[in-house]
Amino acid sequence: MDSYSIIDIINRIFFLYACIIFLSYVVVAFMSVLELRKYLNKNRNFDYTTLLGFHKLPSVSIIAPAYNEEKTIIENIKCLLNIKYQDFEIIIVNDGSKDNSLEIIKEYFNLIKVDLIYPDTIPTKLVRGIYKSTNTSYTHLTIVDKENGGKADALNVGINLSQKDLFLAIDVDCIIEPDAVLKMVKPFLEESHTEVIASGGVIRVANSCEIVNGRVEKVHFPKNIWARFQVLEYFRAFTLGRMAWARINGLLIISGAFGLFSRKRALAVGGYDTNTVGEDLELVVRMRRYMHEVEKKKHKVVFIPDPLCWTEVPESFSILSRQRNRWTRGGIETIQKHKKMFMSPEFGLIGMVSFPYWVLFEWLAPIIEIIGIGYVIFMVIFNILSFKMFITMFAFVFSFAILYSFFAVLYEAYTFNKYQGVSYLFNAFIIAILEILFYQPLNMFFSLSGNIDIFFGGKKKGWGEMTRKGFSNKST
Amino acid sequence: MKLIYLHIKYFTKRILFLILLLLLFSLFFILNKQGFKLFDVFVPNPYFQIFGRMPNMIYYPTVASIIFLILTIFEILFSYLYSEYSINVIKKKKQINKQINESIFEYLTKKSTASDDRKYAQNLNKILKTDYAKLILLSKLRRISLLTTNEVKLHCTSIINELNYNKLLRLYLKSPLTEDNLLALRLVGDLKLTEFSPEIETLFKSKNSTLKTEALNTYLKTNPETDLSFLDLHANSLSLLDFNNIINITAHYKKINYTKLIESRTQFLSALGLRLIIFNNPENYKQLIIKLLDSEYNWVREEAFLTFLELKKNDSDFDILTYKFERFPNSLKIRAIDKVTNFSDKTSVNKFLNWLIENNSIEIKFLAMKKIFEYDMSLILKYKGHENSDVRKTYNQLIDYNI
Repeated sequence: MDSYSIIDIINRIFFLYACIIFLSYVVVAFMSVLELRKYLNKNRNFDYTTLLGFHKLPSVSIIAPAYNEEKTIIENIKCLLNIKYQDFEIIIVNDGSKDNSLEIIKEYFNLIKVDLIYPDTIPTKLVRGIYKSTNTSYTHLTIVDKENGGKADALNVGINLSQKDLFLAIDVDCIIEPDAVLKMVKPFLEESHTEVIASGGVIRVANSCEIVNGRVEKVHFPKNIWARFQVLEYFRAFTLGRMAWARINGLLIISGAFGLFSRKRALAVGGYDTNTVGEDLELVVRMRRYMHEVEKKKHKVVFIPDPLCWTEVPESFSILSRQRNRWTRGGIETIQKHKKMFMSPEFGLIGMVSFPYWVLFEWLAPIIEIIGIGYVIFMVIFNILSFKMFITMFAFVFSFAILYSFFAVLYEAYTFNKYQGVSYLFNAFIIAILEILFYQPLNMFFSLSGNIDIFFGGKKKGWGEMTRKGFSNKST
Repeated sequence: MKLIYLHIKYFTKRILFLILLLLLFSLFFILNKQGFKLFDVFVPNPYFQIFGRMPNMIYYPTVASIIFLILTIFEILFSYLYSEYSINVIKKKKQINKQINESIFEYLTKKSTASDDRKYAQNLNKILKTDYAKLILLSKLRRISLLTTNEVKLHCTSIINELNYNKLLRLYLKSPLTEDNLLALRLVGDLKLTEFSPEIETLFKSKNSTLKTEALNTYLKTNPETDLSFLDLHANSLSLLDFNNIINITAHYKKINYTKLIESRTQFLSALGLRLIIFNNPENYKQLIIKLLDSEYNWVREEAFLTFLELKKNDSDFDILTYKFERFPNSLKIRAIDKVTNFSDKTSVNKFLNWLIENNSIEIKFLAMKKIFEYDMSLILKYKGHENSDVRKTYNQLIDYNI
């Protein structure tokens, strides 16, 4: 076989791969439009407060691991106490904080240690104490103090202690809308033949937003450029991507910062895996697998596109790179653990579509893209590919990427319209251009480094340091 | 006419979008040609010089890029327009709401007669231009009539009758837009208008589960004499949302056949019957309830337990309660403690709470002891030196907690 034939084959492979990605984006956009429209038709004028008068509503435990949160923990807990729901409890798990988080909470909420039996259904690190408040206003608040074991371990403690039907796993520093639980619970009530095992919510970027009394009062496009990139990225990932997967019941991931799960099913699979950094993805995949392999029952993982949860995203290169590195490692760990599901008809659409898609177009895409870019540059240098052709293909990819990003922006304006004004649109346009030239290649690099770390780098463990500034909270 | 307008409104956006896509897609076929014929007129292509000589591998991606850029411009434009439109719509709705509120309160707070009501309704019809405003007005009048009594209620009802928006409601029930259907269904249900049964039935058969649920609610609200037997045919397609809605709407209906519901082989209906009888002399069904504490269905057993807790209990029921207690989840056990006051005498209450303290988890012990503490503090003293260490621990904890 001569070199031109080899080049031809390689070209065709890259071309086919690119066409599939391109088509998948078009299909995702189309499906997410349909699913969003269906969701809005159903819920836009629904009065969620009627759920508060329901006689049979699933009870909810809100589980929030906390580590070194002394600066903001009281405000965060107060925000959670404002949640509107009939039967819920809040379990804050102090995961061996080295600061004064526990002392501050104890003093503020008048906590005393109680002798509740801690059921070790899922093995966890040592629980040092369970605290309840003597103030009757906080009867549904429980604080657990434990040895440090990581987020997954802290969540498992919460699951063990919970006696409720569902649990909402959140990051303690997220801002949750007061009606968030009502909106997340509604899908659990709506199905007659299919069991809803989890519902995920959209994470919105809180950087530069005005926070008053633990609520997002006014939304602003972030000032920080890294946060701006992530706003657009989250539009695409959540508003488009996850809605599309939810439409065909192929959603594999619910954000670790905000997800509602059936406690019974999470316990059945043994809770969160403490040996992975992608515990959120891994739990959903394992629950799905369990429902297919063991229960053999029709089930669903749903997605709520309402902006219910706001969080601070990384504003620096170093923190962003650690986060993306961890996401990549978590994804790979999950794929390795559940590789049996790849192209397996036993798991239905999950096995035949979602899982292969994740492998080929989420995990491998950055690697293939980097190889592809290198290959193209090689071809241009050695005159195998004309410069004209190179510019044409670049223009094609560039224009499609901007089109897709702005489609997500358009849909946000059409649905929830949290960001407004000409200057926002202008900035979003600039960011969409810079994203393709600058942010996306960086993400590819972060993903590649995640791959190197896990396969060659002696497996980096843990989350790394995720410093947050915290919200500047105004009080009225 | 209005119905046609609604259909046009529904399809226009979609058709315009398709036309735009077709026009853009046609660029692939036009740009590399010298021109094209349009109604026997030859239109030359001014870009033929650029595109005419391009090889296909360059031509198609280039045209695609142009199409993407044009679509992006439309996206930016529509993002701005939608955003401004949403802001204006919210502003207008607030304005309409304010206007309607001020007008209604101004009118209802002064003395008026039936003919004043007629004139007021006619004036409102002239002022309120949009259908949305009219339906909002209807909704507000209905809410006020529910919250008030005597004269205000009578005037609200009189104005609602004078407005005579039945035609508008019928139109919205037949609209292709789900939002319109839902708004109309809610109003028909709130106003208890019985003349829309055919439209409600059509919407109940819809594949759209939201419409189905709302149509069911509306049917129930407009048929207070129902015995709920029609649910037999539909029970398998009903959800927990429907379960709760049915209870909230029919809790005080008089003609429901509870025995038929409770004895149904469908767990949904059985559970529904058990929940509903709590509001309607559950004592009459005591034996049936006790029998269903052993139902094969988890849901039915739990509902039976909840209903059993609502019954006035005597000493013989104590054995039933304690015998069945362990099979129920913690949440129901806690409910049982709350409902101890339903025991007919204090001795039975003490007996039950004491049994809980002697035989259950620390959490249940705590709640039971707390209950005793609430109505007779002296009775918990005996647990201070109890032989069981968990009981002693619970006692200490209770004292720490409360004192």
